[in-house]
Amino acid sequence: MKSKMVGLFALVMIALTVAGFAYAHWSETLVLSGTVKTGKLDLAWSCKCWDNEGELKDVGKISCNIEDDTLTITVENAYPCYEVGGTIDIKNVGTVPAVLKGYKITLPEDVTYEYNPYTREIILKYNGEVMAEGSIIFDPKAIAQIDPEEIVCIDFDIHFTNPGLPENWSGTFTITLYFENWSPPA
Amino acid sequence: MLNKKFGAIPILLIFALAITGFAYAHWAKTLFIGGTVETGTLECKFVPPLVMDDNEIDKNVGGHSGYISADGKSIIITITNAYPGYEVYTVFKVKNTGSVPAIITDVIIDEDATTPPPDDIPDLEVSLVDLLGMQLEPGATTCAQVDIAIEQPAAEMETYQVSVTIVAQNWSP
Repeated sequence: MKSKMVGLFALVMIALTVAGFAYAHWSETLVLSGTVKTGKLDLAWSCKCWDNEGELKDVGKISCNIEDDTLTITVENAYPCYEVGGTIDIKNVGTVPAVLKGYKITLPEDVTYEYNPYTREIILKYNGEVMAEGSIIFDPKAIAQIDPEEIVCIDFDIHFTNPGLPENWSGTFTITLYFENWSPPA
Repeated sequence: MLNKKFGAIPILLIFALAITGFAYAHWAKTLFIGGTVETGTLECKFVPPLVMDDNEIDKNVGGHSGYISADGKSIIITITNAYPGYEVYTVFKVKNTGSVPAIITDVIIDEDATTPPPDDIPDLEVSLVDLLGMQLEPGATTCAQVDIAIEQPAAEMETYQVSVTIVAQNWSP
């Protein structure tokens, strides 16, 4: 009987020891904390336009309007031999470099264009007839990647002509430039 | 006859008293065992140097800086002007400054910071290598690296707070 009691007591002690052994750990905690502030991808337009009428007449009219990310160039009352031009600036006003990923040109119905990247010449045709010709000059490498505070210039010069320029006509075109933030090569 | 009986009583009494006295009349001696138990300390700290780098090679767009707190219990990292695709690497050292071996038992990355609602796509990817399961003897140090990568869903002009908790426990047989 006595030996049984001793054995039982020993078992209880062993069980308690094992249970205590499983849960008795000290703990130490180290913390690594970080603050990540992201930059901004943003580009802004600016534009200056001119025409070839001088100060004597003011028949045709060209104007530039910027609203948010949209630059609108409006030509009114154009006529054959009316010539317009301007300089469009694209400035990276963000904090990270911008990379041009693509572009999209939308022209009025029945209007097509041909652009020669070597001569920088552009021809616009209405129903297959030349309605305007000129040039669009820009540095492809510069516009491909624009660093913060950097400005890329696009010069354009359009001369309206016959036989394709229709009378009493209104056409809207859009050029959309798609930029993404630059990132290091993988 | 009666005298004999009465005479036996004192003798019986004496026997009874003798037996009882025998039961209580022991010399006593006490022995003492004196002991002192001193426990060790479990302590780990971040120690210099703290080395940081990023994945930009020919540009300097994003910025990074970091330091170890005075008590060695924290590393504070700051990343500025970050953008999708930007990665920052931080190599740090952990030293066992206690007197018992330590084992790194857990590395907890705060997912709420790296993957803010409403979607489940992380804005940041945080990974820590070469530390979990590491055993450090007293006085020993080990190196580890934490990488923070900014993913596509990261918002512009946003501030993210990242937290990585490293838990160490004492080694035991």
